[in-house]
Amino acid sequence: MSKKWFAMLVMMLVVALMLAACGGGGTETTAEPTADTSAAEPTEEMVEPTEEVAEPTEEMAEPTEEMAPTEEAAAPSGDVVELQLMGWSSSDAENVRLQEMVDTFNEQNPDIHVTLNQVPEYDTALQTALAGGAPPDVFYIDSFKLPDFVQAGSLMAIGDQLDDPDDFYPNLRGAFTMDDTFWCPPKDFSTLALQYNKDLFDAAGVEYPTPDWTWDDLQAAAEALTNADNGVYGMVLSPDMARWIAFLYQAGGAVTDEGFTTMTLDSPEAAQAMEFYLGLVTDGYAAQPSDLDSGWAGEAFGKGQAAMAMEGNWIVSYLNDQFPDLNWGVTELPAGPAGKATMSFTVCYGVPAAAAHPDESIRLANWLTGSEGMAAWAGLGLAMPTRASLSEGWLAQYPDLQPFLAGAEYSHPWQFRPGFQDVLDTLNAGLQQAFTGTYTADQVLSEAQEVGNDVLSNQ
Amino acid sequence: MTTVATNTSTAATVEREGRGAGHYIKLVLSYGVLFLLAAAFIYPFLLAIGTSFKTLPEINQTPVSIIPREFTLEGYQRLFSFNVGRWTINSAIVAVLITLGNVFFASLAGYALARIPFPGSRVAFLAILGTMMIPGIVLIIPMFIILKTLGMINSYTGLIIPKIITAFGIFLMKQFFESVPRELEEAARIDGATQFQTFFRVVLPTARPALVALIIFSFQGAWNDFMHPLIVVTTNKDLYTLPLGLALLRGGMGQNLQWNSLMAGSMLTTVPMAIIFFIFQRYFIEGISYSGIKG
Repeated sequence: MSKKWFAMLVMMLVVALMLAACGGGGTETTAEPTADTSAAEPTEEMVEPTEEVAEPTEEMAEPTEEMAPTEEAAAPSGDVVELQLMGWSSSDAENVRLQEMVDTFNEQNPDIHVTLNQVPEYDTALQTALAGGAPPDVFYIDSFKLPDFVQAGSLMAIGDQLDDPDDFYPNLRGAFTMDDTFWCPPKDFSTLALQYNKDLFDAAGVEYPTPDWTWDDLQAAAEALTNADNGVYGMVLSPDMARWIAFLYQAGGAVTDEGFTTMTLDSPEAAQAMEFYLGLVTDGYAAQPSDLDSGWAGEAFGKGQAAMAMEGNWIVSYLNDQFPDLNWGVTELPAGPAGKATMSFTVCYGVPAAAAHPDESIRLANWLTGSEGMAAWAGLGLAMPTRASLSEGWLAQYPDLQPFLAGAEYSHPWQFRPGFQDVLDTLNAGLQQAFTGTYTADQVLSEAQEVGNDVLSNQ
Repeated sequence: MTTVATNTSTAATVEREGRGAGHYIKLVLSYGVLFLLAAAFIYPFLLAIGTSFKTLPEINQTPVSIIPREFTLEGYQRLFSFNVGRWTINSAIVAVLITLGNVFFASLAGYALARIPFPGSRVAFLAILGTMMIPGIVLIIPMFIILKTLGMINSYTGLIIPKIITAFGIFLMKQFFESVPRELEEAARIDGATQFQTFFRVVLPTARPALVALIIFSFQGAWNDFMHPLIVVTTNKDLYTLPLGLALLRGGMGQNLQWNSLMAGSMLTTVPMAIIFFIFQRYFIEGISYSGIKG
């Protein structure tokens, strides 16, 4: 008897654990893209499909002593420095292009051999490698995360060793400048712009948006385009600080004061921006992606459930691949009471403080963001070149994407202080509540204000 | 699964005895409920199969249909442009060795803790149980540092050795062995069997239900594990397992998600798991009825 019960118990336990495991896996997969979208720096990089895996990737930069002899034996000249370039994987096109660039670099620099290592779960893999004392030689850093890396002392400042650093757009240099030090060169950038569905605009008889739109024009158009019977909303808005913040700057507000001593989300400008943003949703002219059965704003826009979206360059290839028939256009974000503003999202090539081959690592970062590497990278037409000298050529190649590039002039970097993830999380949670009507604009802002002041006072 | 089996057999009995309308209503109702539950569980799976054969634009179309309007192998072509064969072989090697290790070590350790008195056995057992309370996430960096010191980063040994025995397995086997009547072993000992002979010839064969549970559980855990391979395999892509490789397929950011190739990859990971489960599930049920007759 007891054996029978035991067997049944075990079986139920196993089934329960399997279900739990499946459930966990499921949540992970679905939660992640959303988290990425909300973290909002969907810039793009690589994964390189066939060749890289087939290639003799063997030991690379793994700094174990026993490896050294093997490495030397394998190296053609004996003095070749092995470098590991680590990043996250992106669309196939970008992955292939980056591998091509690395190959070119290897050809031009016979004394260096770079291996491209694109990893899944980049943040975990990178943190483990840094904390475990085996950092990659060059790696991606998102501007939002830069302050945390700087504070942890994991980065080497290489900004002053680059060719022509003044050629980088000032606000992109700013995105990687902290405590007056320019830490690492921006590899590309994206700005937020306004995408609109031409067919829905035509059907509603509304004029297409223009760069001189104001908030009032946006609201009026969203109202006219909303057609509840057909399930079409004027706009798709995410409960995400990385989108709302553009309105904050358009209203003339800011997240903190200039010296990062105190939060300024209690300003009238912040309140105005928040009320406008939430108003679009509570008035029923805008909806969030999840209410439109979509994982992110681009999907809702692509399905034609929202006439306007406010995303960055990354939406372009997504719409072309997944919604090839969509008839859409793009223009600059509307101006607020204090004029034009948008956000720029950017990633740099960082070199770790504990770099095994600092000179070679810097040469690689410098080449990738120099005129040759940058032109090759930006030539894909996805993210934009960070060097002002290359913008004209890029624009000639991709005239339709001009509104994104126009934003470079008046964009704000997505970078604050160490520990600002807490502020982002609090504000996003508040926005989520406010979108469903359980929080007021004031509650969202005051909670984030409080958390932010805690973060700032701990520095 | 238990519910399904029991209900069906009850339903069958009822039908045979044919005792009037009330029973037929019950029969129809129970089949109806079972059918709905089965549909709810199988629909996502069918949708995943269907999606793996759809084009990217069709995946976003509404209404969602299981059968692709335009059948394409795009998803599988993209999937196989990666080194999927290698990932599958790696996953299989790692999962099989981890499962074997778990079965071997956990049954030995469980038996020792259940049957062989030695000083500190209780403390040892509690210490082993205690490790189950530490969340895996805090062990990531210490694990990486230890493996790096031992030179096990980017190697099969690093993938396998740390997972080769689990506290859960020991606990499971110990609890089971405690329920095996001592008389069985005493009889064997009287017949002149050594401790090991008793264990392998007499005790272990009675432990089939627990072993099957352990096999399914270890294999599934190792096959689906993502975190451990992620920290062990830092640079050598030839050591990627399926979950790591599939995550690579997903792209860094949600915007690049190509659902058809992702679903194609999911099929590839699910099918072997399903086969294992169905094979061993039979033994499972057999084990129950077998011990049931004896009890």
